[in-house]
Amino acid sequence: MTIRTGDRSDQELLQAHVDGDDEAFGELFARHRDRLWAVALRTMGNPEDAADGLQDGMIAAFRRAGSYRGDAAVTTWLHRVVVNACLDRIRAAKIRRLEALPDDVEDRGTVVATAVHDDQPEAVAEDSERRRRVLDALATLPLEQRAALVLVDMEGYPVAEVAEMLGCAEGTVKSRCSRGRSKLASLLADLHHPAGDQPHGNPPPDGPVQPTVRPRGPPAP
Amino acid sequence: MTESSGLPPEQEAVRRLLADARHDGPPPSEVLARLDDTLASLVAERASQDTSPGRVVDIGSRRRRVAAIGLLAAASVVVAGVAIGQVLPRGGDDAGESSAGSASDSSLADTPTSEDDSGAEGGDSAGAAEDPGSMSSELGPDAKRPLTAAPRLSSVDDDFLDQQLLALRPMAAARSQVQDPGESAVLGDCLMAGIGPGRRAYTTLDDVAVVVVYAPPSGDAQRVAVFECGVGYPPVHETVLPAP
Repeated sequence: MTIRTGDRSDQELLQAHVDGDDEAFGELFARHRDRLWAVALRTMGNPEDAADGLQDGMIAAFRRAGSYRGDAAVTTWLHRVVVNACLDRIRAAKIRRLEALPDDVEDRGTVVATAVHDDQPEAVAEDSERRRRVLDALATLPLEQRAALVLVDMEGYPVAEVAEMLGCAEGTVKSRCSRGRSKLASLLADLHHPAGDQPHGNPPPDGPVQPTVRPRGPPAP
Repeated sequence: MTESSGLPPEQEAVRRLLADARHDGPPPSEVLARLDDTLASLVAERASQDTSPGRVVDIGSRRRRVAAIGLLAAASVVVAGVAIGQVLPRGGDDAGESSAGSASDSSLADTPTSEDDSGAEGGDSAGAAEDPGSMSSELGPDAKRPLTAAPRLSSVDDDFLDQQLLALRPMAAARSQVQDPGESAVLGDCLMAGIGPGRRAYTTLDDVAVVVVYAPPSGDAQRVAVFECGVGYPPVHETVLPAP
């Protein structure tokens, strides 16, 4: 049975899917797919595993749509399903996941995000390097802290919504974020600086200079 | 954005770095194609399994459907038991209770007995018949007799399911690597290829026939995946257990 799917709300689409509309779920998932992909990508750490996690989540959401009770927004529910699918995969492979991310962690998002620097290859390279270091550091965090930071700091979801996605209290989300940031701060000490300020002081003796703004001159050696 | 104020400068800086590292853009085309294919398969699967609109085919619904049948069966057993004034055999109680879709604590309680049977399973239908609930009638005509003596699994809670998988592992280890021809005929679409190496156990998860694959241990861990028979990837459950 095919029902016209234009202009329907998320909730209407999900209900239509439960009611047997073959087109509804595809439209619903497509609406949120890019952001779900972003969450899966940053949670899993590489595109291959992210694809697996997103696919698992999509299958789970398709099959368990009837369990949606309307307590949260459909998009929150979808995120929860996909995040849980990703976390399940990570837990299942936690031995390997504890190892460092592969070198080719860069993804298309990086390319898109740095495309504005096409006229300045040095800036592109530095942005890319900074991003790689941030993602590498993120991958070292405990799973729960990583997921919380991806959703709150990267994707910008409200803490209350993330609490629903992760199935925990808001205070737990805040605590995970705080602990995760503290660890990242120590790992990325040479990258961060107070908001709006230029980095100042000498770089650490054992690390390269990592400016967070576009340099005016040639790149630092 | 959230938590934009009140953070120590160091945390605020990390927060900015994370925001800068967020991903923008759609999934790669190969991922999109894969998702589209998967979605088409799901739609086709639903259409083939249930043509009536208004129902979503999932393991949970199957479990509930079986539960209704199981309740009737259990009630019949009770009535018959009262009528003949005899104490029902323990196996009968287990069958009714688990078919009713309960949390199935009895699955674990039965494990030692089932594991004791494992040496005889793998074609020993007499031994398997001692556990009347080993496979549900959902499997089709061939499944009216039990396939294996494996305890049934319940997905009510992930931790509990992991405990059940741990308890089931000795049975998988005890299975012969060479498939018994008689058993092969009964296992049907549970005999799937391409779901990874490892020892296998055949049982049910929430009354749906599944194959449990215990991958070769890696260090002190062992990856375990549960696949729905005839479906394969993705597994309905994955976990990591301590290596045996």
